[in-house]
Amino acid sequence: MRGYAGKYLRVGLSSKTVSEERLEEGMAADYIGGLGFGARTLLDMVPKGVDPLSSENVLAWWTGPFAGTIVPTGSKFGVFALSPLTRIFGFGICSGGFGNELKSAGWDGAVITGRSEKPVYLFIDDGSAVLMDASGLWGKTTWDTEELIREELGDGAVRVAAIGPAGEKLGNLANITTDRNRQVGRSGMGAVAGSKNLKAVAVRGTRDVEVANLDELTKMALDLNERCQGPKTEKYRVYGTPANILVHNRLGCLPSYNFQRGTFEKAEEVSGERMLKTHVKKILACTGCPVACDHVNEVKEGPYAGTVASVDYESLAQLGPLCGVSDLSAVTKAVEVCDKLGVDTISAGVTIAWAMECYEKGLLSKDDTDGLDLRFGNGDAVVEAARRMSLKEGKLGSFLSEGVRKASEKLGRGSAKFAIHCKGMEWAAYSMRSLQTSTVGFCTSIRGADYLRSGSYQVDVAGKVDRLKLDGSRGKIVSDGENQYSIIDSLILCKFTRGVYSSMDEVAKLYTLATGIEMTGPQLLKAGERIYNAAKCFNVRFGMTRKDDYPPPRAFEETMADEVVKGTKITREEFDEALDGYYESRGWNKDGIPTKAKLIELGLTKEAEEVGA
Amino acid sequence: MPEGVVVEFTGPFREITGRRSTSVDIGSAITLGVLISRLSALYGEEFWRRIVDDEGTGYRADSTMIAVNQRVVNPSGALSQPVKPGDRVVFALSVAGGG
Repeated sequence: MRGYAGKYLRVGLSSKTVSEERLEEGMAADYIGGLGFGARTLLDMVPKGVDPLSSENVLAWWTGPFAGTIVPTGSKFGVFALSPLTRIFGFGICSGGFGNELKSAGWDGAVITGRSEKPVYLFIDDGSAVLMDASGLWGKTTWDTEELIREELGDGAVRVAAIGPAGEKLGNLANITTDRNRQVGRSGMGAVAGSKNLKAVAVRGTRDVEVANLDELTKMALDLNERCQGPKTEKYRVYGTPANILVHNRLGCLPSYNFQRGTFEKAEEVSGERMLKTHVKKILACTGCPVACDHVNEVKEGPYAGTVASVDYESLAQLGPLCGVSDLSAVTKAVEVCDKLGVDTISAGVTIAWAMECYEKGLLSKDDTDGLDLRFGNGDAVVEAARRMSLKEGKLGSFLSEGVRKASEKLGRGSAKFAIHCKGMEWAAYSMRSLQTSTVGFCTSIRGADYLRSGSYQVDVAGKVDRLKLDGSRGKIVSDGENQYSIIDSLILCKFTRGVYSSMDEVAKLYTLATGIEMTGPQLLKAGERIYNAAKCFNVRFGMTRKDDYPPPRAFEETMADEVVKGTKITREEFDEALDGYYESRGWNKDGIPTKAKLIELGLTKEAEEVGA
Repeated sequence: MPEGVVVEFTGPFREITGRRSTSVDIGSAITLGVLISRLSALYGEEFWRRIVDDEGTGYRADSTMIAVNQRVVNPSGALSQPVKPGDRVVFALSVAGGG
């Protein structure tokens, strides 16, 4: 078996043991890598009833078959665990150079169990792995931790993925950071690492990754490299995703003021175009990536002078317009605070925006906010709230650190109606009511409200459907997108290159050239369906049914007032029709449970017995 | 009665034209293709090349988004879509997301 390292690490933190496990070829062909391996690992190792922050939870790190090879953007990796935020399948896919390094060290991944008595970090040095004392690193930011570990190991090229204080304090929104600007975001993987007293994983890999057909793979990769620098990725390379701000604003689908509106009157001030002129200092690329999308801001003057942070559309929108903030320097500072302390920017923005609405409605007092003036538009307050929630500092910080679902449950008083999440995951920066196919995809996502599981917003913003209405046909659009994205996340490729490939057959050919495992486009898509169903089975194990696949009440109960989409809301009848269409296209029953027949067809026989309808 | 079309530009279209918006006098309805031709006459061949596909029948939806009155134009047959006096047309980068 090529492309894969053929083995992975098993690390027992309670027993302080490290061992080597073989990766079976059947596992590779059926589950591909990344997301697929993560789904299989959690199904096999995390039984019903486990507390996400207990030693029984697993923290699995997986690469894909292209990591460490010449295939462009193949350097990504994923981290998987039962999520403390959503209490279902949790994970984050991350860019940077860590994935390449891990594979080059000779490992497809590492499955970490138990809980260390003291803070440790795992150092993987080619074929060996050892747990190192991290007592001196506890309390350090993600950025400092990277530097300190490199200093300790005397090697500036070691790749480090670390948690910040937010993860140590078990905040539900905590993430894992590598290369400073790249995060294993969403769903609280940083808190799971923190619960295990695992501060970081450091890796040094110096070996070549063997592929099945080097000449042909190189030829194809170089061609893809060329295409990656063509017009299909220009938007990422030149403008970066913040260019979405003005486009979404024109279409009435830029969430502002905690999703009350779909336009922002000061959108020009936080636009990607403006940011490029006033704040972008440099544009970086991940290891092995010809696209180079990472737009790094620097604040040159004012109270936040000296701030440096990578600001993408999601972070900008959720810490900016969603909180009514139009000050690019304050948004950049808020992102820097989140990144250094180790908190997810999307979730942070949504949770703060909800608190701002509570404050303006009189549901939170100045006493509740420890004196912070949480009115919409106060950029300084957003920066400070982000800091406090990351550190669980004071009443407000502790309250917000649990995420919007739990915070609204604690506050009560009707605030859950405008806590914008699905399954506990804070909603990303796509309007619920004016991008309705996207909303179906957010709700069926295995990770909770998530634009990255199906990309179904694309049919809305490309004008291929009426984005202000729903019908049964949207279900298949969403499930097809989920199957494709499951493959991208298993291989693991960057979604920014999805337009570069001519077909799934071309992706399959690349897979075969790298691994030697024969694969066709349809077989790859079938694997995508298997992987999505596997993750769904895990969620069913943890109690998910149809009732969990709905957007928050604001989507149904409040019409939009923005001129461009005036009067728009989602009707329950249409949403139910779309959901029915989705379940039907998936071969699941009306309650959203995979049928035994479908699971058996996909080779998920154990799961058919356990959860199949 | 309005006689012009308001055209807004973002991203690269703002750079090519050097402006955020403009008004184009049309008197009566024209096709989107004609509107793009007229704008290309003002702002140069690059404006046309960035938008219209090699066949000259649709627009490059992988890099461009066109909306008429906030409704995104379906790329297929886009150039024959009518544009009326009083319409607002947006030329923007297609929406990007998901790393």
